[in-house]
Amino acid sequence: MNDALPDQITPSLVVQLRTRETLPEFSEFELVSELFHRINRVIPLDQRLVSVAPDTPVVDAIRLMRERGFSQLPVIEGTELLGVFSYRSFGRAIAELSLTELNRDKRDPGDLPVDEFLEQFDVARVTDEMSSVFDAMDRDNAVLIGGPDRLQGILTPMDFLRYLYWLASPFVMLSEIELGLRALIRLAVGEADLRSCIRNSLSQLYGESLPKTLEELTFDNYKILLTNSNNWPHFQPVFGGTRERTSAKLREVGEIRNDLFHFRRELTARDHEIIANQRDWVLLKARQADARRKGDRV
Amino acid sequence: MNDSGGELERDLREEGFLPFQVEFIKGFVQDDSPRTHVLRATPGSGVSRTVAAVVEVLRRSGEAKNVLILAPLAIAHQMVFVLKERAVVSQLVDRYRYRELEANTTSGHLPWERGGAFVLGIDFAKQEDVRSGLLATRWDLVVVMNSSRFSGGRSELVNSFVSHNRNYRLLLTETLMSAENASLQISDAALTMWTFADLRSWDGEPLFSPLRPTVRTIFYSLTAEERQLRVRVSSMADLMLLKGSAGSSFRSALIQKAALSSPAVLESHVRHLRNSLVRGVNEPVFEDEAVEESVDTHSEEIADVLPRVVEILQSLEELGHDTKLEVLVEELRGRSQFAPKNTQVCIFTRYLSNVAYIEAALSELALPIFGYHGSLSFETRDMTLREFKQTGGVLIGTPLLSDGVELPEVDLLVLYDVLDNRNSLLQIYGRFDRFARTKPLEIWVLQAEEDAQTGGLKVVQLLDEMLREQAGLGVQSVESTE
Repeated sequence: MNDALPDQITPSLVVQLRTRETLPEFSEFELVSELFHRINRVIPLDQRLVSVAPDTPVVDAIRLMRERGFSQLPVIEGTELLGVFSYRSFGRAIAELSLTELNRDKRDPGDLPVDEFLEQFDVARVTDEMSSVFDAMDRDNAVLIGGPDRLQGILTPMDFLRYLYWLASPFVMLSEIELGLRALIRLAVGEADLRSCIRNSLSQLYGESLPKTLEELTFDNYKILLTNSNNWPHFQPVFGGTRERTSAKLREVGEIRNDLFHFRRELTARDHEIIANQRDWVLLKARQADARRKGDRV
Repeated sequence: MNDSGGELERDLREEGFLPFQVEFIKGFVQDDSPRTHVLRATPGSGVSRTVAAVVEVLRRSGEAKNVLILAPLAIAHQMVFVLKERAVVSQLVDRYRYRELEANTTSGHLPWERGGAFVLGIDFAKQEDVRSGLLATRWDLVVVMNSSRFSGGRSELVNSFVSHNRNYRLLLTETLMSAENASLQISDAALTMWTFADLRSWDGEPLFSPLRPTVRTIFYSLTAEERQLRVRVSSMADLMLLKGSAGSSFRSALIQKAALSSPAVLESHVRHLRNSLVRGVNEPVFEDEAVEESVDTHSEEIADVLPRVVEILQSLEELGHDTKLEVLVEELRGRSQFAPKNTQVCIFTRYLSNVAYIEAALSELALPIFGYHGSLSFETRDMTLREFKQTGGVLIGTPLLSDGVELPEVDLLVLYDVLDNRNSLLQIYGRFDRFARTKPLEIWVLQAEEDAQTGGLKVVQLLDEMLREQAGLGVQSVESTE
């Protein structure tokens, strides 16, 4: 059925193709599409959409928003999205109401139903590009995800910030770890000892063409250099603990670094915690080393 | 299914299926077979492959247009792979894929209604919005893998499928050696058991005779430093119980267990605790073991516990020895001098943090070392096992090793951590004691003398009891002191 392959691969086609058993190779398409950072990726995995019915009193809606830390609530009748109730929509509408209008119903504003204070937000699809919602996000502080009759999620600038931080922070922390390690190695051994340590630990790997400077070494080389049994006495005073634990720390973070830099897999929450912990560990060693240099103690 | 049973049997036999597997497949796909089946099988008897064959036969005959397979996530990944081998295209559906399926489904319909073979991790499937859609869908076949190990929300979902007013075929697979799962309410089900005795070839010859394992308990003494650290941990755990909020008892127990494992695991747990207290990270410990309970922090706990946390981290920095690890390295060093080159050793630990730690310590033994854990992709894990089986060496694995892995050629299993849960112990033991085992398994249990009453001896006892029940033979137990 190769003749069935159309010119343009659209997201909906990908989903259709996924379900066609006659073309197992088509299942590969889903992997390609999922590599891109589209809106689906930004919606928090644990997000459970909270909405209210149109006749919900404002006071109840605001209480719910306060309890959950929301700034807006989708208002849904059955499966149909009617609009969004927000502090802004309420504020705007209530500011425009005259006392006469408020008195007409003889009700407090809080008792009025939320559907009298709705505003309309843009609705994006899970397969849309992230950048496609920036303007709407800037205007409304949120964008709805799904369709008018099937709301799947809601995105706020904070969700974007968290997502982008999640993507970027490992790169930043890994660079801190790597630069920190280089500095600590330099503190532990002088130029001549460094050459001897490189020779002790990396000769087997590099043969005659041994690296001469730290900058030429890979992260894995650092681990081998530091935890080589002949070299360890040089580094133990700076890194503390045992050779095995130092090696394990560098091995763990090194594997994550390689997976990340070679885009082998997505990092897990645990990977993030390991990177953060090892970064804290290197920072602690750096502070201790700085304090010793100043003739002080931490 | 109106199949000529003979033709199906011939096809399956040609593909290498064994008589008990063929009998089950034939029985299950018959039109008049009971709607609910429980397949209770000894580990290693080919359940995944049999389930895949059932799905394939029913889909080929048009009787299972819509198939749902629920499983622990590791098994779910494996099922997609096994189904693919039988040319059944299935989709592993997680939250992301679910949203995309949903977005491409007409309003008023469920994503599952389009038909296909859907494989879901049980923890995703039990989430309320997913669960309600699954229960409202008209399935032709629902398979629940490893149901005997479910509890809480997992077993509630399974019970809903069992009691649902339905017309679909339901197949639950269980591990024969597990204790009965009281949280599942299954009645009127056809039960098929595959015990060791049932595993026979087409000639009627037994395929597998259990061999009596040798369990060696290796005793060692903690250093004064290590004992002091244990005291500090214990004292902090008590304080957490006293000052902490609802989740603290759980967290306190986790940390005490971590202290029994290794300094690396303890450090990982204590740092996580520190992060929770300082940064308000309200998440469970990221280890391979299933942790469902959430934890809360409390300001009083922060003020009192945090200094102890810092103190323990400091002690860990100064800790010069890890006797348990040193004993293991020396024992393995001694053993490797006399063992054949391709000897297979498996070290089982409950904790992911131990994998890199033990790997680092064993690197000096000049043996091939392999790590097997949840941070690796399914493909990498698969390749790791292939290489290990080919070259021999040391495989260091987490509880992920307990499911869907066959290691009958392993010579030595080291239980690095105390396993006091019968099901966990039996599940891991089942990876090794299965088809193709030709020599008795050697098991090492590492035991601090200080923990003699609670640790490894219990493992030996549990294993002995289990083997007596299942196979009529116990373990041969020896002890040694370092």
